[in-house]
Amino acid sequence: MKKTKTPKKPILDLLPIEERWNSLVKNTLDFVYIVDRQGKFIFVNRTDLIYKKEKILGREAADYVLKEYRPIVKKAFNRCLKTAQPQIYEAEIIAVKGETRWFRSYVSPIKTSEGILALLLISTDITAAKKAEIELQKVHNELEQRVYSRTVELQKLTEKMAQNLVGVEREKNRWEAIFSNVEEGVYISDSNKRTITMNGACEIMSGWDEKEAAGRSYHEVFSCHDNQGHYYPDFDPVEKVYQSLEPIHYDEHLHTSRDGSERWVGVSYTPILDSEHLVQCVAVIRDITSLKEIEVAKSEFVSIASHELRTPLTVINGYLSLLLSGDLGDISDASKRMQHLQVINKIYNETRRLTALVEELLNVTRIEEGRIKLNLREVYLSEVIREVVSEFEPLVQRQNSVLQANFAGEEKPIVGDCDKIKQVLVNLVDNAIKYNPPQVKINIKIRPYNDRVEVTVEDNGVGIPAALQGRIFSKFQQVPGSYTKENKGSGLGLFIAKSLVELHHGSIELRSTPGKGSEFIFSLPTVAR
Amino acid sequence: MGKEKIKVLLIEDEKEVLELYKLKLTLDDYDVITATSGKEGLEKAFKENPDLIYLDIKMPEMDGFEVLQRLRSEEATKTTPVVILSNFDEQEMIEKGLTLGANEYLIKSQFTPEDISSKVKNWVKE
Repeated sequence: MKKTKTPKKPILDLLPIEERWNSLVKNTLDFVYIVDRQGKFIFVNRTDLIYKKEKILGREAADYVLKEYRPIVKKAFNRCLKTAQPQIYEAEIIAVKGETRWFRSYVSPIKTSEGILALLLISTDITAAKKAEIELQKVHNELEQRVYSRTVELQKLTEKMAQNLVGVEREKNRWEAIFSNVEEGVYISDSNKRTITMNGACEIMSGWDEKEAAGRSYHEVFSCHDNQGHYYPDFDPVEKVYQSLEPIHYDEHLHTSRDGSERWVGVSYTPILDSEHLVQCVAVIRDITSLKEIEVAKSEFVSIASHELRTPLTVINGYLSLLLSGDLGDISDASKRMQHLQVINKIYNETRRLTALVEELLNVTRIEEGRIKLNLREVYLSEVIREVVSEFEPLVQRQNSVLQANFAGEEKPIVGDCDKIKQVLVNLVDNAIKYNPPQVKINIKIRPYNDRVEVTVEDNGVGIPAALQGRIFSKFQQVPGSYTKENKGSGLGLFIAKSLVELHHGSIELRSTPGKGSEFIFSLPTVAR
Repeated sequence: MGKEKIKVLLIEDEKEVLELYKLKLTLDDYDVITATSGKEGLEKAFKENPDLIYLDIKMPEMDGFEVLQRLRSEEATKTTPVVILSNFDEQEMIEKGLTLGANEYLIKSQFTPEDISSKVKNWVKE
């Protein structure tokens, strides 16, 4: 039998349209709804997740989403109705078991010749994806939160660090300011006894600048001498600290600067220890040169003062011992009377000299200790000068000298201590007589000068050598060659005169030409201070 | 003819001190030469060839130390006994004097003229 071939038709064409639709709608996992123009369900393919089919038909689709999504749903429907364009939205619905599920819904218009009759709604359960998304979002949010809080923390930390840095900087600046401005030298060496740093005072004292000094030893930088001022090539006080690890609280050395100038320094050395190892040594160096100079000046003063005191004592004791031992004959021996009287006179002179010297030494001490008190009152200098002239008269006559005073112009009184001013004049006149040959002419002049009264004591004597003029007002300065004279001075008179004038806020100066004479000029203010 | 007197040179700028020692040494029968400055002292030391020199330290222009140095550097006075008579009692002064070649250093105020005079025989053999 012959089979007749029938032309093949596509399978789909074999199925009636309704069948096709039904099968599609039934078998799809998606939810397929049709809502009318009012958004009410008129068809639903499955209700397994939500309510029974009968119950939801006729109800508004928007009612089945959570409240907050309703506007989204309505909006999508309206838009679709209005524009005839498909819309898409996502919303959460309450499922049968009370749980919520996420759906993404596509809304498309069902158009006929009469327009849009209804809307086709296809909803896909995207709960899993949404959950993942939410989870992701949560993680993301958490992460963001964490990042945020970390950022805040970091920011706080940064701010704090910045503040600390400012603090550190301020501290550093403060330390640097102290370090560089302190009058003491501050020197630091490392564990190898090499210079790390030193301040400006050290630079001045050593003559090295910090950069040059770096890496060199303390000894090399300061060219150190020991406390007796002796230089030993290997003498290094810092070395002692490195060996003993003990501080040296105070030591005195003579430092030589690079330019050769010397200065006395008082130094403390402190080791900085790290457990038992010395890591740094800090030296604080104070320039005590001026203190040393005062010390030296004081000991020189004591030395010369005691020398000067011993000289008359030697003569007094010597002659007394000769008298007592009978070397000069029996004291009761009338034939020796003249010689005895001469000796006694010498003793008396030396005693007077000793007394005057003791007085002057005490005056110097009082002046230097600031213990001189001025008994201030109005003083007319011309009166004081007249007194002095008359007191010196006998001595002046013996020497065939001349002492006269000239008073020019109207005199203003000064405020001062009469006795002290007299002392100044006595010392000046006494010097003029003592250090000049007989027949010297001494003239005292007085004149007003601005707010001052100026007094000049001039003589036509030997003058004062130029080399001595600069230090004539210092202690124990005497003109060489003046020693052998009868009335030997102490070398303190001009120092005392200058000090007393300065106590009165006055000033004193010397003008002298060797061979022609000297002028001592002092002036005192006429107004009390 | 009698024995020649021992010749003592006194170098001292303090007139009173000089006269005191001169008086005592003369009383004790020494031939006393005086000088009131370092310069004069040196001149007299070389010219008079003394047996002993008493030398002061603190003198203007040329002090005793300088005089001593010059005395020791000259053949004529190299071995002449020199006794320093000074009122400086500082140890460093004493050491300096002895180092420069003084035979003795005496502090004036601690000795009577008699002590000073009796020292002559310690240094000069008759």
